[in-house]
Amino acid sequence: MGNKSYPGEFEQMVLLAVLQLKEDAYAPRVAQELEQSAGRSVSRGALYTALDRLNKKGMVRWSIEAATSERGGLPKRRFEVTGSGVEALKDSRAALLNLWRGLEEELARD
Amino acid sequence: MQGRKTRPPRLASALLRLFLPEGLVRDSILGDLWEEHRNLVIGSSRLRGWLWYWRQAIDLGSRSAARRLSSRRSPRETDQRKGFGVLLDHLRQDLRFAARQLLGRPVFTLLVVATLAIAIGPNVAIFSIFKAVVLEPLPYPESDRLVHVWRTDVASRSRYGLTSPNYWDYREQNSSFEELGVYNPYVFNIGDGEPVLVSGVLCSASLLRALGVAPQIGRLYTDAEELDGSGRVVILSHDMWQDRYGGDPEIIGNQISLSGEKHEVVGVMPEDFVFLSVWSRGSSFQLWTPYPIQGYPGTLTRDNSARGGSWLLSVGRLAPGVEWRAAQEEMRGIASNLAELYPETNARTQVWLQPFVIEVFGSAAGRLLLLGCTVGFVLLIACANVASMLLARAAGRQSEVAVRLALGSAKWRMVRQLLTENLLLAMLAGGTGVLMAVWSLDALKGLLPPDLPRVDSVAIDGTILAFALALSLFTALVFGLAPARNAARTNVVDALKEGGGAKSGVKKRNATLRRLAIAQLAIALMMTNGAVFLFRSLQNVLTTPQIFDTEQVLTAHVLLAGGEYEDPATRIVFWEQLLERIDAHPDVERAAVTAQLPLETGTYEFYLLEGETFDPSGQKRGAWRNFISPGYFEAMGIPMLAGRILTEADGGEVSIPDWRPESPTQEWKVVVNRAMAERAWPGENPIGKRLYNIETPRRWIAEVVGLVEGIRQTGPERRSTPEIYWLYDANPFAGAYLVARSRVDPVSLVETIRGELAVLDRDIPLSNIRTMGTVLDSSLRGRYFITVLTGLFTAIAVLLSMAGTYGIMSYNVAQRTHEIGVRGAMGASRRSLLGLVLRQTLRMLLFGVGIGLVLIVNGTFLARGLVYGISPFDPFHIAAAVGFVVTVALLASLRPALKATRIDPITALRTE
Repeated sequence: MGNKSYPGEFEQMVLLAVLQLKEDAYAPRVAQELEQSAGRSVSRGALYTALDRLNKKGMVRWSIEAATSERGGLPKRRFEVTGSGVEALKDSRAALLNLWRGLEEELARD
Repeated sequence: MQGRKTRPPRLASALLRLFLPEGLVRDSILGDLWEEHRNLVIGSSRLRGWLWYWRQAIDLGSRSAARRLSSRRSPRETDQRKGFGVLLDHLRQDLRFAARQLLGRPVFTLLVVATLAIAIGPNVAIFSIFKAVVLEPLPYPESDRLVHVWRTDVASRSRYGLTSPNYWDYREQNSSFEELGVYNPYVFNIGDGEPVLVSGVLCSASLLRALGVAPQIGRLYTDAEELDGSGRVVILSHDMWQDRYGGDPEIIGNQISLSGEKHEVVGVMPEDFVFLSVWSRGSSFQLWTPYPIQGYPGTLTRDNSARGGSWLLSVGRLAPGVEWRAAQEEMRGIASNLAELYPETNARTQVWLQPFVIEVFGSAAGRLLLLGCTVGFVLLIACANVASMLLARAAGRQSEVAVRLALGSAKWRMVRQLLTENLLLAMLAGGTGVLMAVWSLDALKGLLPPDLPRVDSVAIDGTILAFALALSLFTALVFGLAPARNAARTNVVDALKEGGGAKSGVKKRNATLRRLAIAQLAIALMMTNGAVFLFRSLQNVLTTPQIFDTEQVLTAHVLLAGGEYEDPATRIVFWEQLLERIDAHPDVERAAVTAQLPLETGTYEFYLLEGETFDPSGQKRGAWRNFISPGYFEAMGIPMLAGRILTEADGGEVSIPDWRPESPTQEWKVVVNRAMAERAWPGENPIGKRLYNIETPRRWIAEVVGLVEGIRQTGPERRSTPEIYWLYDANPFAGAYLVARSRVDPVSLVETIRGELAVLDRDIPLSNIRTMGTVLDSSLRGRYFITVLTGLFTAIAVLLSMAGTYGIMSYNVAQRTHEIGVRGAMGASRRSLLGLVLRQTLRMLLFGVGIGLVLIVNGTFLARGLVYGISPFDPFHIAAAVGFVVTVALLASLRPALKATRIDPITALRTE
């Protein structure tokens, strides 16, 4: 486990949001999802940076879709979590669950 | 329209394009932001969308820029990368320090911000008007190809409209124009339902093509529809379509009643189409229809006998690649040929082209530019003022600066610190100024003269904010220059020496302060002088006798429409009946009708005197012509000087259809004004003299039976020019101004007149109801606007320079406390101490007034055309302005001077 790298907290959230959105995963919707489900409002700068980083790590990939008039005729970039992205999420979940084990009661006290 | 509203802020998206690496990713990010911005605008507000977009753009842009900077550096450059981080860190520190400094001296900060804001606000407001009125492109495609075509006289520079046969020749013989069209603004009576009068345009089909407008629904009318005279067709404005016809998409093909005739609606103009006319500039036009129309005398005839008049406004679209000067050359060639062919009418006729944009916005641009200069000067004074404040404060910080320098702080760092503070101050002032502009904009719009086009679109938008930002940066640069230079010169050793050892620095600083005060006084003097001359001119205009009665006269426009008025004789009968009914009312002294009101121009006619023959190469005599009912002079209060008025008995055959008393055997009776008599028969009695039309087939003879005082036809500030009054039988108009002189408040007559009109024909509306006082007022709106605003801005300028003088003199006295104390101890009288300080003010004034006078002499061109009834170099008024500024400056330095006399020598000597 020593050399294994986990996605950061924000990256995990982004990955999960992308998975949730399925076909509809492009940046404005991801931002919306993060706001609605995680109560986290993100600047678009932070979001694109995270998506870029995940793309470089091979955890997401994107494809271009045709332009529509609501966007001034500009193209649309749809994101998708790759196999290694899903693996990373699973690993991180497993690691967290391991760490949580036996602590539920203690942490639930207050 | 929605497309424009939901479009993201242009500047912000341009910045994003600049900062994000080019490619699909960038485009998709821009698309995301576009979409989110759009949703915000639709779901919430434009402002929220705007703010959101800018926040994201700054965030994304700065991240991307930082990433690019760091990725460009090789590992070796890490030190420098650190350098960049350090720089950012310094900037943050500077900003924080500056904010603390400013907050630590709230009064000083408030004073500086208020001084600058009071100057930036008007600049922003005036610029927003200038942008909306002048800078926005004309609302026509490739509008730089549009030109206005005027007829001119060979010798004079006067401009007239074209005549119909000439227009046809120009249009058919030229190769420079893609399209050449003509138009006249006109008032139409819309008859279905509630009768109303609307402003519209009579125009050739080619005119609409020349403008390049495509209707939103339906089509434009064609040359064929226009030419065979059967073209009873009309195009409606978007507003009229919405307001009167509920936006009915089935309107095309419907018939509407226009001036008594059925017209088929063939098209509706797009919502953003604006018809800009050189005449009736402020009007919004509601419909477009071809010539001819009932009640309007003009038709697009090719008849050579009609080459004499001039009434068509003409606009053309140049063919691609043709320069307007080249087109002018060609048109002048055509005009010269016509002059040879028709010497009687065209001998002195030439053509003059003017780019459309200059034609429409030229005069507005001039006036707004004058105001722009005025507010610019206010800003300069404010800058000088703030610079002095900063310099004076720098004196107090001298030791602090010196200590920091001695402890190893870099000099450039100190200067940068000062600049950061200035920038912060300027930004605060800029923001406040924008708020001031937003608040004052509505009041300002109310003051704007009615002939200024596109006033409705005046608003604070992104461009204006960018302007305000640039102006604030510029301001910071101007007012920060002297203080920064001063700081850079600080000599540590001198500054740290006890007791004013830094003599040379102080001297230099004091010299700068004096120069700044002198500059303020000079500019204030120039502005005061301008305001004095403008107010004096306004007063002169207001006290200029207008001859007609401005108190008791009510006027309203009446347009007879409908088949029953087709016969001109019935119109005369109608007018007679109406006037008789109104005259019978006890509150009415006299009622009349006229084709033209005073001050509102009219039509021009050339004439010959008895015994004269027409010389095509000579100067033609011309006069305004007006058609009136017998009671006109009495109703308008125009005094009779000799002879008699026109009576019904002078009426002959009612003439049709054009203004053209056809029978040369009949002799018409006319009344002329004083200017006409002086021009045509100097030193002689005009009564009994005869006039003729200038063309050889003699169309009319007129005998002068009366002489009246001259009114000013073209505006309250113009001279009275020759005018001939005909009885309305000579031109039985369908549309005329009703004029009624009242024994009581003239406004109370409105219902009476409306009632009498309804008795005769309830389908005829009364429109454009005004008193003659209002007519005079509205022709003076432009002058009020300039005068009031210049006065206001000058008041600000004088206040600022007064504060500046006060500040500098107080500072001066404070600095010389020691010296004054010594003088006091040596026995100097209070009066001599007072003189000591005031003399210094006087020295500054001497320079300030000197420079101010030079500015005045060189700046008169700015107010050219606005100074009325007074020489722009009138010594008395210049002296008054100088006296005012000198008094104000002396008053401002009185308190510091008195303070000097109260300095206690003992305390003063201890201040060491």
